[in-house]
Amino acid sequence: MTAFKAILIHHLRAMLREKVALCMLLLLAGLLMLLPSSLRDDGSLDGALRLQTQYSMGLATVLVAFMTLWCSASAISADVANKRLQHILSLPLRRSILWLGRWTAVILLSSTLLFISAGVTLFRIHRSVQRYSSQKEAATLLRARHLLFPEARDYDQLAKEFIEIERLKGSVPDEVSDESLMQDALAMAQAQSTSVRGGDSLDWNFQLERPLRGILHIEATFDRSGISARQLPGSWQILDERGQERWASEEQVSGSGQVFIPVDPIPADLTQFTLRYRNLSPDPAQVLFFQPGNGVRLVQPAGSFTWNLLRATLLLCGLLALLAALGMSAGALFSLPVACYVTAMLLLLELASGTLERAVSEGSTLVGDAPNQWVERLDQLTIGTYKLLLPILQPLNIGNPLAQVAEGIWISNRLLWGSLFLRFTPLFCLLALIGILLFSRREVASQS
Amino acid sequence: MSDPILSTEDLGKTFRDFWRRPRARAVDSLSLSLEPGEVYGLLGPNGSGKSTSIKLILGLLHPDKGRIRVFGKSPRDVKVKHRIGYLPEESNLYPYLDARESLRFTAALFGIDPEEREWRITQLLEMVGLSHTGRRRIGEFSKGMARRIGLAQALINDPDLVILDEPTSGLDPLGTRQVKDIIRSLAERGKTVLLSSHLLADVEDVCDRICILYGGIVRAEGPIRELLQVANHLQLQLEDLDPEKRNQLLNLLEDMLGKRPQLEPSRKDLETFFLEVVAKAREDSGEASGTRKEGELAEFLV
Repeated sequence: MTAFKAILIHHLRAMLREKVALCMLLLLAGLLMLLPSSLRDDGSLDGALRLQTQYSMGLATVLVAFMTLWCSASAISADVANKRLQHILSLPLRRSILWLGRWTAVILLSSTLLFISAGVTLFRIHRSVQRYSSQKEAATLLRARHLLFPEARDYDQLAKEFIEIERLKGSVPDEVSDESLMQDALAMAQAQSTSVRGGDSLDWNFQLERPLRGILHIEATFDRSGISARQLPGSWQILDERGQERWASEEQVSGSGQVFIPVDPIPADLTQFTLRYRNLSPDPAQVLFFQPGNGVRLVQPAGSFTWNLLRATLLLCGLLALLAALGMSAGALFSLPVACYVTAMLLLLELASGTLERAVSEGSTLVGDAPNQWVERLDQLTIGTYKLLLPILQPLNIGNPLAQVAEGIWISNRLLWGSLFLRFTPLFCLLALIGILLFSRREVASQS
Repeated sequence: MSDPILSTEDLGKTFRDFWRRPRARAVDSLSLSLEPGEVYGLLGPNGSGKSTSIKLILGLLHPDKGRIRVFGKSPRDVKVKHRIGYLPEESNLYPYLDARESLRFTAALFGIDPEEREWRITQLLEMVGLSHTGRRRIGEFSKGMARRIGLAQALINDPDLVILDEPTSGLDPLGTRQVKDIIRSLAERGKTVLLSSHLLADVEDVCDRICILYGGIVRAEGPIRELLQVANHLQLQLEDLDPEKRNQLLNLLEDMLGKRPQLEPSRKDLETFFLEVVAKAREDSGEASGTRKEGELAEFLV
């Protein structure tokens, strides 16, 4: 423990006195203090909040990530290059302690900087509240929410059923290709599943992990056909598994936009239910279109903006811890430039993991047809490589927590603790084990 | 006879390239044995395998063949390292630390408790003449000053085995003299010293036994007195001999030997002369910048 503490304190001191790390610290301070002053928001609290969270805090995170990369990759490799490691390893010190002590120092510094950045961001947001908004608006915006989404609809199945019906009716022309027919049918299925005519209703099914608590809102984003100042009457219902109504409310909408409908009291025992919207207009031409994807969702207040930002910061610290582990292991085996390159590659792959995941699920990186068979083969090779990388990258894909915070979406326990303990910890253990094992076997003095 | 502090048997090390092809044979069939209280010198020209042998002994390199035992254990054993003090060939210390911080770090790794640690650091800084450097960072030190800090680090744990790789490199003659005095004092206290150097005068002054390496192979090994003895060659030293007696002595020797021997006045070596001049200058002008007059051997080492 004494050796671990000595290595930890020594490396913290080393990083704070190193010129590169010092430059990055100054840049970070400048970024946090000057960038928000030089950027103009749209004059609303929402705009200021997004600017502070996504841009200032986002850039601070990138800077801290680069500092983590440098400090971890150089933690051992710089000592090898300067022949200092020979002396350190002649002292009574296990190499695993050296690795772990220095990793802890790197991650302590990075986490501290990230939390300081979060603190500065919060301070600036609270100043924006005083400048821009009413207390009521601030209370709404500075509150993070759980978002509950309905089950995804199987548009393929709906499209197939639609084609079947149209074929039975004999309304499908022979010259239309199957592919084009499917495309049209998919568009139709999507339109039908997100629109409701006057007199009709539309259902969304919800499957929840646990019963709902607290105040609940239905958040609906919609558009309506035609230009009309008239209010469109409609009703919302929550139906249980047996189809029994558990809650109902009437709502008038006009134009396009977003409505928040409080559900009070919440049916406390429900984990499976259907949300139904009925268009009460007698005119079938009065159609209401819900935004595809997230047109209807349930919103549940979860916690304060401050807590949410801190949770996102903790999540990012977990990612930095992994980056530091890779940097340390790479630095223990390779020279500083190679270690930096390897670690930077992981950082880039992590940033691109969402894109890679999409490419693999879509089966191609190409938009449209491949110009020739060689391009197609290359595309297949790329996808094959992505598939190999995906098991490593998937655990790293945590989306964009800062964007989530800016939108007021609560960083769920599942995302936070699940990522930290179930995804990052095993990966960290693996990286640390490989790094320490190979470092322990490494000769640290070359031919002089 | 007691167990050797350090022993190597048929030790070999070949450096290889990326494809594992042999590039240079650094050490070949090295067998050594160091007894307690002995000062052992590893001699050889550049690239003869001295530093490689030391790195093998410290477990920093893995031997291709042979066996190393330090205090009867593997050199990679952490417990063994508690009893070793090592001064590397180049004192690449952390440039952003001051002397005290640097020594504190080393002492902490040896698990020396803070109170004892501070006492030892004060003693050692006095000993190597750097107690006045205060908060000056090591990066600002001259090579000789850094070397002195390196020596202090090597002694902070009061080691039983001290391994010194080119300890006098970069030191002025005063520092060199002091290092040699320290080595002798350690040996008198029963500590074992392994010294690597290509400065023959240094080795001759302090070592009990030496080993001369060339191309990684031991070319000569044994007690220094025996190795340097010239057969059938005697030396006579006389003091305060007046010219008349000198002539009588020469005539006598000429009668006995059949030829007239040559008489030459004795000479000081340059080191002794230099030390005398500097000692006088110190008395006249006081301390110069850089290192101060070195103190006595640290109390905990006595």
